[in-house]
Amino acid sequence: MLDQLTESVERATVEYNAESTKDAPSKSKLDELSARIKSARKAVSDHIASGANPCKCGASPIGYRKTEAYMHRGQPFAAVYSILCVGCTIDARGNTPEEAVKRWNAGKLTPRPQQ
Amino acid sequence: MATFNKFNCFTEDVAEKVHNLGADTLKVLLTLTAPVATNSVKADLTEIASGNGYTAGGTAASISSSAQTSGTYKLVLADVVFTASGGAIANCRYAVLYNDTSASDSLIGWFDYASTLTIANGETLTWDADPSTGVLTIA
Repeated sequence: MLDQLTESVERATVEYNAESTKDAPSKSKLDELSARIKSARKAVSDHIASGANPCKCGASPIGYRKTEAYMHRGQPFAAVYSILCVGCTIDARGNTPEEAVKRWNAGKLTPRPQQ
Repeated sequence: MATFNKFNCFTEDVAEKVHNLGADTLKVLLTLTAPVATNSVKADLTEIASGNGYTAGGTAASISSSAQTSGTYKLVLADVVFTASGGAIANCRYAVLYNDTSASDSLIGWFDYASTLTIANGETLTWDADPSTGVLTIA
């Protein structure tokens, strides 16, 4: 499901870029595609953040895949998902959306770097 | 954490519709040569050599959120992971964020890792975009 939603964002982005780079792009088409991208991105966010409680500020948090899974020196590193309040400087992370939501709801937030 | 530096042109470019940060393709490229605030387009930079897993022009950063809250806009991007394969990626020190969709590849900001980085075969460099503070805010 998440892959399908992500592909929707990518398809809309490809179409948007194709229109943008024309010699005479259509403004209405760009506006439509831009809105489609935002809508598709929101669907991804809603899927990842499903079950997440509202932030203490009252806003609904967003969800996204912060880091793709990758290999480093032959060792696998799992993907990292983040549940984030855009208005506050707090987020919770996990190697699955469910884990990130669980940590967010439990208040297990990512420590901020010391200034 | 690498420090963010804004290119001067970004403020005017935002005001004059050069950027649609919610939809344009934003990329991160690597360079060993220090950018300066007066650089304005990708052609002004000296990018590292492509090869061994590094593609010319860098790698796209997925836009996770492009929205305002209480009048402050925040751009949240996903991380970009550069993986060296088949050999080392050329040395670098700076990661530059730019708009690949804009006609002139307009620059947004650069991040200084404070020292030369070596990415040997099989190793990775993660451009870590802090989600809570965002890559940039506009108030």
